[in-house]
Amino acid sequence: MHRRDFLKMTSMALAITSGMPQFLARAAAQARGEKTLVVIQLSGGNDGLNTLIPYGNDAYYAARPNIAIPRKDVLPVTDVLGMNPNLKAFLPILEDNEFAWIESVGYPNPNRSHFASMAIWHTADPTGANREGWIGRIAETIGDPFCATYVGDIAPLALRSDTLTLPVVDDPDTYQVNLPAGLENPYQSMLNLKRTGEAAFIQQSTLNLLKHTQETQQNLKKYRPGAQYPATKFAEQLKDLAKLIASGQAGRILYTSLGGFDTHAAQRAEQDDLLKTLSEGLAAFRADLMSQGLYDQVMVLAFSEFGRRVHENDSAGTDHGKGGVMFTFGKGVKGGIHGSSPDLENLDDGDVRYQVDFRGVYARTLKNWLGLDPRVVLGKDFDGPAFI
Amino acid sequence: MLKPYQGAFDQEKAAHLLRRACWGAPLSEVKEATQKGLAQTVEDLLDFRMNMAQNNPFDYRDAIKPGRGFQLTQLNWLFEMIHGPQPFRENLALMWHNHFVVGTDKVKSGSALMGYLDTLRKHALGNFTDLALAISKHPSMLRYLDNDQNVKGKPNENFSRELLELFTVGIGHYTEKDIQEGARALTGWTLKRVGKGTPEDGAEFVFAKNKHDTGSKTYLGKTGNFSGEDIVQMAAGQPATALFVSRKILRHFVSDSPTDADVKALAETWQNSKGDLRTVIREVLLSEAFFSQHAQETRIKSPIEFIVGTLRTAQIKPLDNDKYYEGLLKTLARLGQLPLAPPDVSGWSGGRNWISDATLLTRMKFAAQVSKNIKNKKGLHLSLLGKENASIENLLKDLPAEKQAYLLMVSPEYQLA
Repeated sequence: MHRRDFLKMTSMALAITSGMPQFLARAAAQARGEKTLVVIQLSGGNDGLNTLIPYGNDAYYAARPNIAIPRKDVLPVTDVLGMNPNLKAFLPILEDNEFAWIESVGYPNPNRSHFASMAIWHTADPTGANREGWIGRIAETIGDPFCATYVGDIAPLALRSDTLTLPVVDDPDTYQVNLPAGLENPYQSMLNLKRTGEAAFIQQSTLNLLKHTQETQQNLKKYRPGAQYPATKFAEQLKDLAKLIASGQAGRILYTSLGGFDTHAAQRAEQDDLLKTLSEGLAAFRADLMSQGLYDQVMVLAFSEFGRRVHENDSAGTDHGKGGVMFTFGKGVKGGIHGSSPDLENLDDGDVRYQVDFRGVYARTLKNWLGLDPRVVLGKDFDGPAFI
Repeated sequence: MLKPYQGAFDQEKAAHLLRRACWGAPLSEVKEATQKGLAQTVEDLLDFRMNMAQNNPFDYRDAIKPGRGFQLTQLNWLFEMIHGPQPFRENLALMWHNHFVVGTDKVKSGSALMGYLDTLRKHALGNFTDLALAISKHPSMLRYLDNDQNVKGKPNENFSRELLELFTVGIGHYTEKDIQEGARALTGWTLKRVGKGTPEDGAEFVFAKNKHDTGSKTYLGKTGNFSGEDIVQMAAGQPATALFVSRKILRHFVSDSPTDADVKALAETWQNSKGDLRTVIREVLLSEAFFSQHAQETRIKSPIEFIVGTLRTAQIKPLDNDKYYEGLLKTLARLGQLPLAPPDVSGWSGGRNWISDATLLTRMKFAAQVSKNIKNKKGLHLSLLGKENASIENLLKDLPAEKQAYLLMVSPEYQLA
């Protein structure tokens, strides 16, 4: 099936069930852009200070007698800042000047609750009033529910929209509908009965699924991995992302997550493992895309809901803090350090002060990478550091 | 007080009650309930005992490798849910598990998790403050939220924060200072370690007096030399807690989006009974809200409701096949609800989050597998959908039982509880 027919069918199916949206008619015209954004969510509040380390700052070592990364182990980026040694796999990207760190990222009136703070990043709304995700709003803006895909089992709030169900793929290979023989027609009839409320929501999700799986299966065969991925679940997910990109099924945004960053006790071992998983997985992903000639169209953006308290606690861990670090890489990215380094002598109730609003980072990405109007998605104008 | 239900208690209403309270039931049990009447059926549910499933093949003490113990406890619980004599008790344990969350990402001990489940069962219909206190001191919770490492001087705030944010009053009813002061009061609550397993394996609660901060603390507007017990009791007894937990109970039993009026009415009963959970939950099951149209059409089945409910309704007999139950556990993981392994300390958020391409596909595969064993058309629609649906029945009536069952199980209606 061609994309145009497919979209026509989908919009018809949706129109039948809920008298639905005008904008789907517009979808065929501007369905998918050339560029793909890959969003990586680091869940649990990644400790930014042990990720991008202010190794030139004695206050850092004074605050963290047990968990600071020793100067000799740091991978220097500048004279005063360097990376956690478990991020070694990022070095070649840095050397190619395509890897950017953004420091002291946060938002006004920071919230130290995982869930409230994550919801703020997902909705791009620090007041907590908005219940739609920023990517859900992108889908509505361009009128294409398939412009973004979550790889994993349960999609985060970022991909939620009031009117559309965005695809979630846990494994592209088994992403297909297999009805028992002879049930195709009664299944269609049963599915097409008129419904309201939550039943209509599930009906619409199922109709989307049927169309999307069909198209995906036709395209998937095009992928052959071009790199060796590490044996982690996270790397498997990244391989699935590469597969979707290579088969032309990626849409504009792909989203996946890595959890476990809630390191209140014995932080070093836990965070070190996670950063290794993160960097080695992403390095393989990049190598794969390069070998397929697809790297130029991809940009990776990673975030966490907050950073950690500057001072370690008594269990060699850190409690919830405020400002944190983001990173991004890709051919279009201006490598190096962006934003301002945390002032460890001037803290906000023991935390790194936020200096860069994450919505500015979203705005730059929307405008300069995805070619979309940030104001429509974010509600007002923001400006972020010039990392792209 | 919630308005009591006054309408007739017919087969549809009985099927609804048993689906919500007991994850579904075959037609014979639906008929039995209508004969007993609503009041008696609910009293019988609330009069639960501590008897367990016969011949549960899964026991953490059989673990040979250390990592296997907690999986055996997950399997033990799943078996209990499917085949046990007290599904309502297990359903309440699940609701409290999703409130006082602990998870196998950090608690890797069969004994600690089994003890945690037994604590939830024991207090499920008791007093909320007792439940909160028992769970707060349980080795699994002490480990899960790091309070076992909370010592005076530089406290670990993890448990203190979630106690207020997730277990009692909820966001908006405390300050960052309350969290910090609460953490000080909770210093010294730790584990008495035994053996060489994980820290919580076989461990008991112990109060390490020399690690406790004895200074004065200000917590939720009061000042004093508070102990850990004081902090948990103060948080659990707040009016905001009555509202916060009442909403959660209504979400579990009534609707993904309970009305504010219902939440307020239930919180009032909570306050009048001083947090007596039997009184609160009885009122929910006997309420107009529970049997309303709103309740019947706005709640999406959780994966456990979908899997366990289907197997209970289909009356699948216990199988002498460990791999089968391990397979069910994997299916639950793919659907996003592996018991004892919620995604994080806020638990499963439920509602529309349960529905995605990936989970719809997995639900379809499970339906295909189970429906093969269904040979009898009688009462199929009522026991599966909980009510008659003429348009679906007409469409499917000529198909054999197993094919009807399959299409019912993959229908949008069946994804609702």
